[in-house]
Formats: sequence, structure tokens, C-alpha cells
Amino acid sequence: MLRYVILRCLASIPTMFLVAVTVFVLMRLVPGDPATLMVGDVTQVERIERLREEMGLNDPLLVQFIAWMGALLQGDFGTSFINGAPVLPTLLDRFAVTAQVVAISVLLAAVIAVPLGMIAAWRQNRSVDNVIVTTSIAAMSVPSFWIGLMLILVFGIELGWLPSVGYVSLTDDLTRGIMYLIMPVAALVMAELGTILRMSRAATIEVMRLDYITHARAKGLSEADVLRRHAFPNAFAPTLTIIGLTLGALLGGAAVIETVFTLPGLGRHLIDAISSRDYPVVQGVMLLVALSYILVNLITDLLYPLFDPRVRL
Amino acid sequence: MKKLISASTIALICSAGAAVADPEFGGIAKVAMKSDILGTQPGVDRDGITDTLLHHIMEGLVSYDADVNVQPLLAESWEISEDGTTYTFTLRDDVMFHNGEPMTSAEVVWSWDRWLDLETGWACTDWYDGTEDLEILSVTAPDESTVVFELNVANSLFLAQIANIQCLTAIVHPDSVDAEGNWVEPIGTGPYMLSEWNQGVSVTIERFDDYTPASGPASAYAGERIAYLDAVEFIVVPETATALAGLQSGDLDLVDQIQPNDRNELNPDLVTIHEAPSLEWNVLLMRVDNELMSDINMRRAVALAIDFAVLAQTASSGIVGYNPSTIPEGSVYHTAVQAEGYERDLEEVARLLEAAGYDGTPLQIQTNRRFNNMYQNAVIIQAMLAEAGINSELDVLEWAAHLDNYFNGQFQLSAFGYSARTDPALNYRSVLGEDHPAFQWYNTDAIAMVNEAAVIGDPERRQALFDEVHRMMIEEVPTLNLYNAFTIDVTSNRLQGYQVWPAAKPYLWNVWIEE
Repeated sequence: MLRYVILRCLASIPTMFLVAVTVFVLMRLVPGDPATLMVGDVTQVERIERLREEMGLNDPLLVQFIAWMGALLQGDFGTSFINGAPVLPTLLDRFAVTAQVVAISVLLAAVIAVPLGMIAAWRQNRSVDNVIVTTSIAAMSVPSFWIGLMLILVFGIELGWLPSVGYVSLTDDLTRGIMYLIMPVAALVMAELGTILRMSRAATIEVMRLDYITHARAKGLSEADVLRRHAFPNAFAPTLTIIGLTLGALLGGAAVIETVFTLPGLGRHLIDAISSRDYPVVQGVMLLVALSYILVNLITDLLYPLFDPRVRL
Repeated sequence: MKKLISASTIALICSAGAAVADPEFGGIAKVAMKSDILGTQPGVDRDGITDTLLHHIMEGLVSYDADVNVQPLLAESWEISEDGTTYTFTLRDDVMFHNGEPMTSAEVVWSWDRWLDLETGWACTDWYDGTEDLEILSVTAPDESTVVFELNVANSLFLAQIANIQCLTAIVHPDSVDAEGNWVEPIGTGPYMLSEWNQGVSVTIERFDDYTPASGPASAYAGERIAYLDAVEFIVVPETATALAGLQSGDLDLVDQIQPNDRNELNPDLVTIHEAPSLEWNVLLMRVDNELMSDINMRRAVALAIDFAVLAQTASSGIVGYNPSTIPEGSVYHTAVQAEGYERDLEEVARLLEAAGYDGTPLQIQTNRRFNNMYQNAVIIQAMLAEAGINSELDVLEWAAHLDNYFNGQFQLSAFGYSARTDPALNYRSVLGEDHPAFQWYNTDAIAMVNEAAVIGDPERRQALFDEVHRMMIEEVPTLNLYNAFTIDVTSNRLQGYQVWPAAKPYLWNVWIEE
């Protein structure tokens, strides 16, 4: 087990390096110049040159890359072109906001979707199944920004129950923090519910056809027991993979939800940095995203044996 | 600025009809901003949103009134020497910094030294260090209430430059920086003080109780500025739809710079809409060094193919009209001459196209979707050109790429826009120049005339110069001016006294809350 973890961590080093190189090169291939963007339409040629020099953009690409890598190895993510602030602290703050919303949403979505998917599989092709599948596909098909705006219209404006703009951190004020989280979490749950539900349903249908389920039923176990004790452990493993992937993808920033609900999250931070060509910030965000993806997948794999004893690490 | 006066008078009458009560102190206003501020050091880590917020906290010697004329703010008065190179400012004696210290000439000199020091990274040093023509030779303080600026040459733009909104020449207390000279926090003289900056979320400013307003009638950034509100919270709301929802649910009191179409989404019982023309202007740039566009017949054909009045009407929902001049409509220098532009004439277009030997090759119009006005202009122009037998294709770029191409002159046609300039000479200098592809028009006579207008003070001579440059521009067709931009701000009904002005910068003094 420990050996496995160490090997996986070592294997992630080349991945991270590839991400670093790709992001670095791609950002510089995209047209647009950070110095020009800072100066805007005011024609100040000298100032653009001065800014490029200060940002180190006049150095050869390899020199820039080595400088960035060298600093990174010492834990220095650099400073933002736009406001001169160190990249890492802001990054971690923004990541904390995203992680909080995403973790709650994915957990809630899983808690709702997995049992519903199993019930749908158990009642395959009957009306319960049809209702569950149709509803989940409908929720999945609606764009999340639309769900977000509708939630704001209903709960923010019409009913006035929830605040429509602003953000309060859970650590600052728990009750108010929860009020600000309800709508974004609800929108994310609705958007992600369908995928998890369909995986859970498909996996359960597979398992329900197997001989040992028939055997369990023949033993006289109740249907609830069959589902809980025999179907669930075997059907859950593939669903867990999907949950892990969803979590990993969303941790990279749920930019749309963050924009609609004014959350200061990582996704919005990344979009802002891309449009202002703030290279150090974009590079930092992408590294963090890659790292969190790798970690989430590692944890998912480590959890596998808990649910499926056939898997050995 | 007669037209602007009449527009703002109408706005004043309308809002006065709704609000009969006198201003009252107290309350907190909540204002939406599209992104977080970049920093608190004026003119250093800056963008338009940062500028808006910092003008509540810090002030300069002079400032703009609602008609965009320069007025005293921290200075009481000034004298200009006969040769135009020495400016002597007398300071007000009743100004306090937020830390309770009185403002004297020492802090003025200290602040100017800081902004002009290249180490500070202040955005507009080029204006004052001789990179352009003006250089400040010295800033000195002969006594506590006098500050003297020595310039290398006479320059009629100097006061307009130091009143500049983007590069606020703020007078701050030296305790705003630490012992190493690093910026800590703004200790200014403004009607509000910085209270809390919750990064990525909001910035709160609170009333400075020891503030003494300048004398003179309240007028935008000048005159008697009174903070009636206890505090103002600027909240980051990137999505306009969310901001407008927040306004109608009572979570916000002000959303600025909305699009004309957004007005339809609003419930008129819940909000008040404020509209005014602004100093920004929309253009269709034409690269004169491009093979096809270098032919004046081709450029004239494009100009005569466009129905500018309809374009302005459609794009602004009727708020502004066609302005053929680089000088904004509200300016005192915008005369009948400046209103002379192009009249659509499709027969003449056909003749010009034949003269140019146009073979139907599609013209490439660059635009972007970050700025909806530029995109809309490109779409409408494409349709009008098609009617006139000129083929064109839209090249929709991301804003950073579009701007980069503008700077490098990499385009054939470009639906572009310029931010506000506060003097006609500065307007012309945005398009007119040499040695750099970002300039659109190279004409030595015109450059010489604008340079003369930048130095002299005589309004009649300046008018004659600007009129002549305008005639030359219409003749040579280096760029097509379309219309001045406009600003639409929306306030909650509880926020009273709010006014929009041509600089399109929201300000939260002389406004109050009425439940």
C-alpha cells in the first residue's frame, strides 16, 4: 500500500512537469501581450517597453522558463503581473472557496444520486425508473448558469429568502456563510446529479443480473438487504471513479457558477488571469489544478479496496 | 459643453421631481463592481474600476467638474507665469489627512516626487518627464501653503493632465508608505477612508468625519463634495444579470455601465435609470498602409457606404447620434464644422469602387465581444457595406489579441473604441502621429497644428486649428469616427441624488439613502 502511494507520487512528477511546460508555452503562443493590456489604448510606447522589461518578457523563452522553474522548486510561485501580489497566497484563498462549494456539492450529489440510481436499476423500465432517469437527464441538460439565474430570480428576488450578491466565508460567520452557499451548491448538485446517477444505475443493473444476487434472493433476504449488502458494494466502485473525476474537474474551478453567484473562487481567478495575460497566475492556477486532479484520483484509487475486496493495491 | 449642461439639467429636473426631501446623513450604499480593485496605490496597479474607488479616498490639487472643466480641489487657486512655464498653486488651509494631520505644501511635494519617481511604477510618468514634450523641471514649496511647478515649455494641457482621472496625482500623507518606501495603505484627504478590503469579494469605505469640502457648487469631482453615507460597500459582481437581480432584490444600490438591452429586464418601479453621453468614442479604423485601403477611393467608398446616423441610433438605442469628429460632442470645441461628416451615397460608392478597381475581395473587419459596442458596430457596418456592394468578413478576436493587433497595426479594418480624453489635442493625439503603428493618421501639417494647440491657451486660435484638422481628416479619410459612447447607470430607488457625467465615473458623495 505504502509502496503504491510512493510510486504513484513519483509518477506524478513527470506529469506535473509536462503540465508546467505545456501551460508555459501555450500562454506565450496565445496572441496578446500583458504589457499592452496594462497600458490600454493610451499610446505610451516607452511605458510598454519598460513594463515588458520589468516582467522579464524580453528574455529568451528558455531563460524565462528556467527562472520560473528555479523559483518554483523553492516554493516561489512568482508575483502577479497585474497587481504585483505574490501568486500563491491568493491562489490558496481562491482554492479554499472553490473546494468548499465543490466538496459539499459533490458529496450531496453522491448521497442523492447513488441510492436513486440503485432504486432506478432495481425498478428498471418501470415508471419509477422512467421518472428518475428523465428528471436527471433534464437537470443535466440545462446549462448551469441558467439554473443559477433562475434560482436567483426565485429565491433572491421573488421570495427574498437568500442573498443574491456577495460572499461570506463559512469561517467568518457560519450562518451567513451557509446562506450564501445554498444557491451555488443547489445549482452544482443539479448539474452533476445526472452523471453520477446514471453511472450508479448502470453499474447496479450489471450487478443485479449476476448469479450471487439471485442466490441472495433465494436465501430469502429482503430486497432492501439484497440491494444494500450485496448489490451496493460491487456496484459502487465504478460510481466512485465518476465521483472522483467530477470532483477533480470541478476543483479546477466552477467558473460559470462562481461568476453567476459572485464567489471568489479559483475558476473566476483563472478566467480573469487569462484575459489579462497574467502569465504567473495562469501558470500557478494550472499547476494547482493538475496537482489537485492527481491527488483526488490517487485518493479515489486508495478508497477502492474499501468497497471492492477484489482490488489489491 | 452646453449640450452636456442641458442633458444634466434635464436629469437633475427629473430626479428632483422624484426626490423632494433634503439630503440626510446615514446609511450604507452597496455598489456593484465588475471585478476587484487591483491595488490601493493610485495610478500604479490601476484599471477603470480601481480608479473609480480610489477617487473617493484621495484627491489632487485640481479636478474635473460635471462639464469636464478643470476646477480647484486641494488648491485654492493658481497663477500661471507670463511665459506659461511656472504654475504657482495656493493650497487650502482647512484640509486634513485621514490620520488627522493637516495638509501642507510638504506633503504635496512629497507626493509628486513619489509619483514621478520611476521606481514607483506610476502609469503616467511619460507625460511629465519629457518623453512627450512636457517636462516638470521642479516641484518646490516656498512656504507652507504654496507649491511651485517649473515646466520646460508652456503647455496648455498641464492642468488637464494633473486633473486626469486615470493617473490621479493624489496628495497623500508620507505615512502611506513604510520605512523602505513600500506602499502600505492610502492616507488621503478624500470624503471617504478605506475601511476594509476583502480581496475578491468587496471593498468598504467609510465617511471621513473631519472632511472639509472645497468651496464652490457641487459638480462631479469638484466643488462641495459631501459624504452623506456612513459607508459604501463595493461588491465584486462579474455578471451583469446577477448585478441587476441584486439591484431589484435590494442587495445593491448602484450598477454602472449596463447595455441598452439590459434596460428591458428592469422593473421601472424598483429602479431609476440614468443616461448620459460620455467622452469615449467609437471608430472604424482603416489601415492606410494596407494594400487595398491605401487607395483613398477605397476609403471614401467605405465612408460613403455607411449610414452613420442609423448606425449610431441602432447601436445606442437612440441615446446618442453620429459624431464625425474626433472631438466629443459635448466639448466647447465641437462646433458646426466638427459636425460635418459623410453622407451616404451609394451611386458615388459604385463610382469610387470602380475607380479603385475593387474586385469584390472581402474586407476583413476585426472586432471583439468583450466590448459589445465594438462588436455591434462591426455587425451593422458589415450589413451596410454589403448593401453598397462591398464584401466584408468579421474577424472576431479575443480582446487581448484585438488590442495587440491595434498596437502593431495588424489589421485592414477594425471596429475599435477609445477611452475618454479631456482635451481635443489629446483626442487627436490618439490617432495622429508618426513612427508607431498604433497611430492611424500620419500628416505632418496636422501634427504641427495639434502640437501648436497643445501649447497655446487662446481658445479662438485653438478652435481654428481644430476645425482645420477636422476638415483635413474628413478629406483624407484615415479613420471613421462613429459616435460618442454613452453611459447607462441604474440605481435603487432608495439611493437619492445620484448623477451621471461625461467621464462616466460613478461617485458616491452628494448622494444619500432614503428608506
